[in-house]
Amino acid sequence: MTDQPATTTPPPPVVHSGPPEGDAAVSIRNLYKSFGQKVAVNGLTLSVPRGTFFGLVGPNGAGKSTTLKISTGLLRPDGGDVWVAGMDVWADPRAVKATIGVVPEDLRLFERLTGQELLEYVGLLRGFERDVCRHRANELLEVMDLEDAAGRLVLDYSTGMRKKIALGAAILHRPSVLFLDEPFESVDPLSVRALREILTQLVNNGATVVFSSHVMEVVERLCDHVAVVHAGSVVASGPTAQVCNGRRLEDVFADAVGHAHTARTLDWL
Amino acid sequence: MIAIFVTLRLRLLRNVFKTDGALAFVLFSILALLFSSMVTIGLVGADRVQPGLLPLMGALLLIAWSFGPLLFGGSDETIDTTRLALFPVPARQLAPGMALANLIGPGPIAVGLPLFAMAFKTGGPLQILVGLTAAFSTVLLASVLSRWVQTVIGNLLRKRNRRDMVMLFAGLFAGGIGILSQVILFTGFSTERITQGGRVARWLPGGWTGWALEAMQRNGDGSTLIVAMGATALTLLLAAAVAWFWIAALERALSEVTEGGVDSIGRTHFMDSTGVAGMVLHRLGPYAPVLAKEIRYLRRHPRYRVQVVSQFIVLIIGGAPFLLAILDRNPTSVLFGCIPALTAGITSSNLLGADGRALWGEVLAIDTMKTILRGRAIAFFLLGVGASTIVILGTSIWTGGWRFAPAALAASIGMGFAGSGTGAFTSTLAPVLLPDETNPNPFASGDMGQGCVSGIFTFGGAFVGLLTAGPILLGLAYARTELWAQILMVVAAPIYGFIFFVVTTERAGRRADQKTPDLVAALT
Repeated sequence: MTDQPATTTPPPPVVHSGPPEGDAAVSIRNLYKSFGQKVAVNGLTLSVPRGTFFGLVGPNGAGKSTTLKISTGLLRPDGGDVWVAGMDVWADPRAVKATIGVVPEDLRLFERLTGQELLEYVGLLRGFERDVCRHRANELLEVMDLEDAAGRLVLDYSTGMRKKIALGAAILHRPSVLFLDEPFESVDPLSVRALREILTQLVNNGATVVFSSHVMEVVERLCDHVAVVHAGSVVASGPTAQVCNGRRLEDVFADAVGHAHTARTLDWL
Repeated sequence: MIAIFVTLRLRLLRNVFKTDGALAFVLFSILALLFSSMVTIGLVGADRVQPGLLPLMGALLLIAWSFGPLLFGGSDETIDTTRLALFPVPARQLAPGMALANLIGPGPIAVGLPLFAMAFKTGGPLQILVGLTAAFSTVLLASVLSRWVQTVIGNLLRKRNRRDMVMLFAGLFAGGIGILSQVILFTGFSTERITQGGRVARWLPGGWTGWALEAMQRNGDGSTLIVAMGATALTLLLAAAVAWFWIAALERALSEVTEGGVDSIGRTHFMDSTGVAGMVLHRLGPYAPVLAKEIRYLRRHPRYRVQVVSQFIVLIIGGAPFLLAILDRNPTSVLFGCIPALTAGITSSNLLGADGRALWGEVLAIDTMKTILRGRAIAFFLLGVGASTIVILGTSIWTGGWRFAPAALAASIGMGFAGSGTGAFTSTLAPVLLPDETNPNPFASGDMGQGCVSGIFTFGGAFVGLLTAGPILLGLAYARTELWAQILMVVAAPIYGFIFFVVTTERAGRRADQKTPDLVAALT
C-alpha cells in the first residue's frame, strides 16, 4: 500500500517569488500536489546544488515521482514553485524542457521506431540538424552497447535496453540537468554499470543529475548529495556523507521514515 | 516540424511490417482500399449519381475520419502527447505536422478517394479545380477534427471516472447505431431514403461539400461554382476554428501529462468479502479468489469495463429485433430475457487476454489453469445470468408473462454455462495479448493489430458460443407456444449447460496447463 499523510494544511497558491538564492540547479520551495483526497506532495522544499549527483530516496508513495514530474514540467503543482537551471518551471515550462533531460519511470518511447530512428527523431524534435542527430545517435548507440540492436524496433527491446535507449534520448541534447525516475529498476547489473558510467561522465562534465531510486547501495555509491522523502516532505537532506554520518544509507533511510530496526517477525513463517 | 512528422509517420507505417500486427495491417489496408476503389469505380462509372448520395457520403466521410481512429487504438504514435510532452515544442508548432501526418496511410486514402474522384466528374478544368479544393478542404477538416477528438478523448481517458463516462457514451452511441441499422434492416432500404438522407446531410459539414459537387455535376454554371467556393470557404473556416480548439486541448495535454495518482489496479487481487458475496464466494472453494479478482477488475481495469460495455452493445444490437414484442407487451417476450446470459457467454471467448500481466500472478499462485479458467468463466456466467434475471423480472412485470419466467431463467442458466464454457475453451486457442498497463489511453499504447487479433477471436468465439447455445435457442422457439417445451427447458437447459461447462472447462484446463510455460513466457 502507498503511504498517505493523514492530515495536511491547504496548499498555498503557485506564486512566483523570484529566483532562489545561491547556485542551485534545482530549487523546490513549499511544493504541494494532491490527487483527490490523497496528498502526494506536502510542502516539499529542496535544493539541489549545481554539478552534483543527487539521489532522491523514499518509500513507495512518498511523493518522489510526483515531485520529479512537477520539476520537469509534466505535472502542474497545486502550490509552491520549482526553479530549474535558473528558470521558473511553471512560468515557462518549454524553456526548462529545452535545457533538461528526463527519463520517466513509465518509459514513453516511440515503440515502433528502431533504436537508431528513435534517437534521430528525438534530436530532430529538439531542433538539431539531421547530420548532428545521426552522428550523436551513432555515438550513443556505441557507448551504450546497443549497436547490434540499432535496427530493431524499441518494442522488441528488453527492459535494460529500453532504459539505456531512453537515457540516450534524454541526454542527446546535452542537458544541464538530467532527471531520472527509478533508472535502475528491473535492470540487470551490466546495464546498471553502463548507465552509471554514462551518468558519472555527465556529472564530471558539469551537468546535474537528479534521480529517484529504491536501491540504497547505488544511491550511496553514486550520489554526493541525497534527500530522503517521506509522506510528501523532505525529512533529511544534504551531502551523502553528512546525511549518513558514518552509518549505512539504508539505516538512515529507515530511521527517517520511522521503520528503524522494528521489522515485525512473522510467527507463521 | 511538418517534415519531421511526415517522415515519422511514414517510418512508423513502414515499421508496422516488423511487428506481429503486419498481417492484420495488410489485410485491413487491402480491404479498405478495395472497398474504396469499388465505391469510386461505381460512382465514376455511373451515368447519374443518385441525388443525395454525395452529401451523405461527405458527411459520413467526416464522421468516419473523426471517430474511426478510435477503433484502431495504438496505431498512431504521432498523436501521443505523453511522448511529445518531453520536448520543448509548443502545440501550435506540433499541430500542422500532426494534422498532415494524419493524411498519410491506407485508411485516409481509402476514405478520401471517392470524394476526390467525384471532383473529376464536375466538368471543365475550373469546375475540377474548385471540386478538388472543396474535397481537400473537407479532408483537412476531417483530419483536424479527428486529431481534436483524439486529444480530448485521450485526456478524458486518463481518469477513471471520465473513462467510464466516455465508455458509457461510446456504448450508447454504438447501441444507437445498432438500433438504427436494425430499423433500416426491418423497414427496408430504398433510393428514396438516400435522397431524404442527403437533404439532411447537405446542411452538415462534409455534407455541404458533397452537395456542392453534386450541384456542379448537374450544372457547372457560375452559380454552382459560387456555391462550391462558399462551401469550401465555410469548411476551411470551420477547420480553422476546430484547429484553434485542438491546439488549446493539445497545449493542456502537453502540460498535464499525468493527472492521476498511483493506480492501485493490480495491487490487491484477492478480496476478503463479507455478507452475501462472502457466503457465495466461500462456497466456490478454489474458484473464489479468481472470481473475486475478476469482479474487482470489472470495476477497475479499463479492458474489463470495455468488455462490459461491449456486452451492453451486443445486447442492444441483438435485442433490438425483440424490442417491438416487448413494447407490445407480448407475454412471450419474457423469454427474450435470456439474451444477456447468451451475450455474456459468447463474449467470453478470450478469458486470458484481458488483464495482461495480472494473469502471470494467478498462473504462479493458483494450482491449475482449470481453476483460473473456471473461475473466470463463472464470473462471466454470473454477470450474464444476473443481468438476465433482472431483464426477466422486468419484462414479467411489464408484460404480465410470469408463466414464461421459469423457462427463461432456466434458459439463461443453460446459455450462460454453455457460452462461458465454450469461451473457456476458445480462450486457450487465442494468443495472449498484453495491454499497456502504464497508460490506459488506447490512442497511445498497445501493439498494432492487438485489437484486430482480439476481435477475430471474439467474433469467432462468439459464433461457436452461439452454436453451442443452439439447442436451447431451439427449445425457446417452441416454448413460446408449447407448455411441454417450457417444462423441458426448465429441466434440461441448466443440465445441458452445466454438463457442457464441466466438459469444456476440463478440456480447456488441460490444454491451458500444457500451454502454461508459453503463457508465462509471453507474460514475463
